[in-house]
Amino acid sequence: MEDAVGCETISAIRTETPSGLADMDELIRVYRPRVFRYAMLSLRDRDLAETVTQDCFLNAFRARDRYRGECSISTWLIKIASNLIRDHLRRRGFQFWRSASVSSIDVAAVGDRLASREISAEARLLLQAKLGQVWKIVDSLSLKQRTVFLLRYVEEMEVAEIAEATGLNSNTVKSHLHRALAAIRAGMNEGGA
Amino acid sequence: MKQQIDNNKAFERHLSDWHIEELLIDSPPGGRGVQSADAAGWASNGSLRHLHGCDLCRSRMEQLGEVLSLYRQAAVYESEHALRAAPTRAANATSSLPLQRRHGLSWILAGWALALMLLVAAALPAYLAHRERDRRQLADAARNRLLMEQARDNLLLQQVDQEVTESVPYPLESLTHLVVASGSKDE
Repeated sequence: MEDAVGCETISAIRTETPSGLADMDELIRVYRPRVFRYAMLSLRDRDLAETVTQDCFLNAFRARDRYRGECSISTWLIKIASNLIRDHLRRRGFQFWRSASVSSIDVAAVGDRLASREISAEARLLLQAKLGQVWKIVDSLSLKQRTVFLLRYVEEMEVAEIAEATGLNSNTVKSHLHRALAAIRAGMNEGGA
Repeated sequence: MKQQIDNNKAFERHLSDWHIEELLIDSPPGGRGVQSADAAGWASNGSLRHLHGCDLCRSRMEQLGEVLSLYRQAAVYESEHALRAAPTRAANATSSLPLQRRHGLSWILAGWALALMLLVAAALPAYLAHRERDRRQLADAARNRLLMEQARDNLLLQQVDQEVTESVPYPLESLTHLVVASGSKDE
């Protein structure tokens, strides 16, 4: 299921220039799905992800004069979103009562939709179990590990781009990725997947 | 010859977990398999050469790659689903603030309004009592001032009376009798 949003984003990145920021409507249309997805998976809260996405584009609009085209617009937006997410998580650390409102994925529903119609009920259940397991493991990763993992394997950014967006150096990014993959592998082996 | 032997030895050993992770980390976007690694031009990479010839290692890498791919598909699907639901919420919203923030804001406003009402309810009797006390104090002050003025007036009148009734020198006594007599005569 290669998404249309992903293709659209890749084609947009190719034409990125600082002047590309002039048309905010177009910018939002192209990058909103990506920023929202990253925020939602990082925060695990749809409403908060919407807020972060709005704030991200608002901040980008305010700071558009400072964008010099040193990195892609996508990386720049992800960088802004990362800062906002970090702030929200820091603030939410004190709001323990809000944890109940955090929305989680309905693994069964997603698994059903991802599975093709031809597969057997048993295979479908296995797929759902596998998805539930990996989702849980990713949720349990530390913030930095989860961030670099999402940027690499969901947003499909290069290590150098992740380093730029997160402010970490490339070796640190790689080290977090190794740990995240090791945790996933260990978790999946434990679950027998 | 020596290099060939080293290569063969390396091939005999399976890839470590770290090597497989490394291959997955460096593989180009969109692919997590051997082909995608090939596409990245790693023909010279020893790990990749091993991967081509070793079914076990290839299977290990592909297993982990499949898990990552499954996660990505679910993440993309879930976020698209959530995003499709988002415009409905935005359309129902009366302001540009997101739902949760507005709800939070309305609770905060309600809290402030309640606190203000309690404050007013507690402070009003005290304010009224204070105003009544002030009013009484002003009335008392005005009455006291009036009494003092009256006392001062009385004192002045007494003083005038004393001055008027002061005894005149002897040579003028007959004149005072005369004034009194002429006054009684006029009556």
